[in-house]
Amino acid sequence: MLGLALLLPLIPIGLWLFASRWPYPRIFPKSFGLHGWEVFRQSGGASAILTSLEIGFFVALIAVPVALSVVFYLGADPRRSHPFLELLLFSPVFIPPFVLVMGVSVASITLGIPEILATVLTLATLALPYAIYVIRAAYRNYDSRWDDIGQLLGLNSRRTVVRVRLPMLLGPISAATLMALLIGWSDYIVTVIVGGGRVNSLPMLLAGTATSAGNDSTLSVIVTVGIAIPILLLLIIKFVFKLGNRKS
Amino acid sequence: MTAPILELQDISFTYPGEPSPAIQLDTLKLESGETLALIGSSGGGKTTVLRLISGLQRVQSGSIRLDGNEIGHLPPEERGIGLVFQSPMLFPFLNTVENVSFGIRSSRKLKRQSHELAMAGLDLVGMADFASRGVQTLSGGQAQRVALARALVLEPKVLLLDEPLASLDVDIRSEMQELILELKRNLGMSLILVTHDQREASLLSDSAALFKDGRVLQIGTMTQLLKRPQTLEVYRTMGGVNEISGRINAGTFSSTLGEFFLSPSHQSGDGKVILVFRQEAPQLVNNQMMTEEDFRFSGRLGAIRKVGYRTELSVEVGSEKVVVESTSTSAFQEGQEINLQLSQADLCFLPRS
Repeated sequence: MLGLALLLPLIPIGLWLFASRWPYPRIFPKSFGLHGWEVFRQSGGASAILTSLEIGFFVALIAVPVALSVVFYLGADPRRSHPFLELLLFSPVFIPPFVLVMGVSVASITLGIPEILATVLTLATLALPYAIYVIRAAYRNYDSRWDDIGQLLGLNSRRTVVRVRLPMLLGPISAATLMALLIGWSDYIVTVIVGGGRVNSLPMLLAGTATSAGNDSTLSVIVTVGIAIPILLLLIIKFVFKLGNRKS
Repeated sequence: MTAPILELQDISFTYPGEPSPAIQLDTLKLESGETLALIGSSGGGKTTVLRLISGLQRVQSGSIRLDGNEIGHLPPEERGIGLVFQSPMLFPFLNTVENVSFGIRSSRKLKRQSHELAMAGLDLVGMADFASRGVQTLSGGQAQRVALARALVLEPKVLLLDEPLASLDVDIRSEMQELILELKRNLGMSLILVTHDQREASLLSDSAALFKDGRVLQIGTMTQLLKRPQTLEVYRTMGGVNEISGRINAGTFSSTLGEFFLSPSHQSGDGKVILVFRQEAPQLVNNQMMTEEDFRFSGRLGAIRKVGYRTELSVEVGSEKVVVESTSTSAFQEGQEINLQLSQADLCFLPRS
């Protein structure tokens, strides 16, 4: 029942993807075609997808390794407390995002940092506390004897981290990576403000399309792409990590 | 006489933030091809010693020599020591054979033959048929065999076993004990085994070191530790409960149990002593059999407890209480008068301070 309730709203979107005309009050479209896809292509859809992917990818690429380093530094022992460091790392959660975003925007303009880079860095900062939280929750249950086994089997400390600890933390790392990717992929506010309107990501295209009338078909295409690509990314991440483990 | 394969000398180790040392060890040796059991109560330092030998903890002072070479400064991956934990700790992201070949691939030397070597290792522990199985599908005993194979394929000079059988069922534990004995016989392995189980230590080890509070109380065979404790602390730590105060005078021991002539091996000197003997040592005898030369005494039966197939009897002998573990199938009754006999070999006299 829950599945059905979740799927029901997606049915009109699915139909709109291939509808040319769907006048009210018809239950089904009057004619089918690829009108929405064509408009999506003409309005720079492919480029928007690439930009969003780029942002998501670099946000994850920065946030996850930094989160891992922080988590390893903080250690698995919950009794080891670093209150100041933790407060600093989690400050993006406590400080209203607008304050942070406006601050970064002004700073990036002053320093002459390119808009896309400033956007990525801001989003990575915002994604970092969540990535830390996800990985740390799992790392607290990490048995340090896994590292011991790695060393006893001939690995030095650095290779133990790569070949034992990271694969053992594959689940939380995948989750943190996906979450950071999604933060980058789906962000609108930061991209608008810090990007100064010059970063054309998928949410920017979605917002532009949604505010103009008569674009239901194109809107459905953007929403579908916006949902489908993260799912695809999730599968790719899982596959890549699995493959990496097999070959290690 | 050959040099020991492993020798620990004047080792001291304190965990960070702890006021007192976790380990203070004068000397501990392992002869090549032998098995040394580390026994004693929890928190005694047995596992810490294994961690120091393997390099997972660095010694703060003292030396660890393996095959004549100092290894105290080396990281674990360069020591040539294997370690199997109580829990198999098989990597869940690898299958059975990949777990076994992990160490070979890490060493980079025999990378190409890693699969063949891993298969040979699995064959050694009777797990070759499970090579491609996911480790989550293995039973506790099977997983521990794989963990053993993973350590063995690296051909460590010394293999450390940290209570590897403690979490296994009784029947699987017996199988594993047989496997360890077989591997030791066939490969001539030098082993250090941490165990709480005195029976297991007796079965698998050539000698044992009794640990308490980070110190070795006594090193010897399990029989020596059980029957010839050097101190009352050793006797008590080994689970002994029978302590009879008395005096030796001119080859005769006098106590509440009575007066007994001692064999020459016990006549080390006159003075106050404590007689200790294992609970399993006294034999139940009937009156007619008693003679003057035997170390025999009688008492009144107190509490009776069934412990498996054995019966634990509490016997009041004058003001002393003697605990006896009997395998007799006789029906015992509280208040019953019983006669007990101790062999001279079971007696141990400790000086009374």
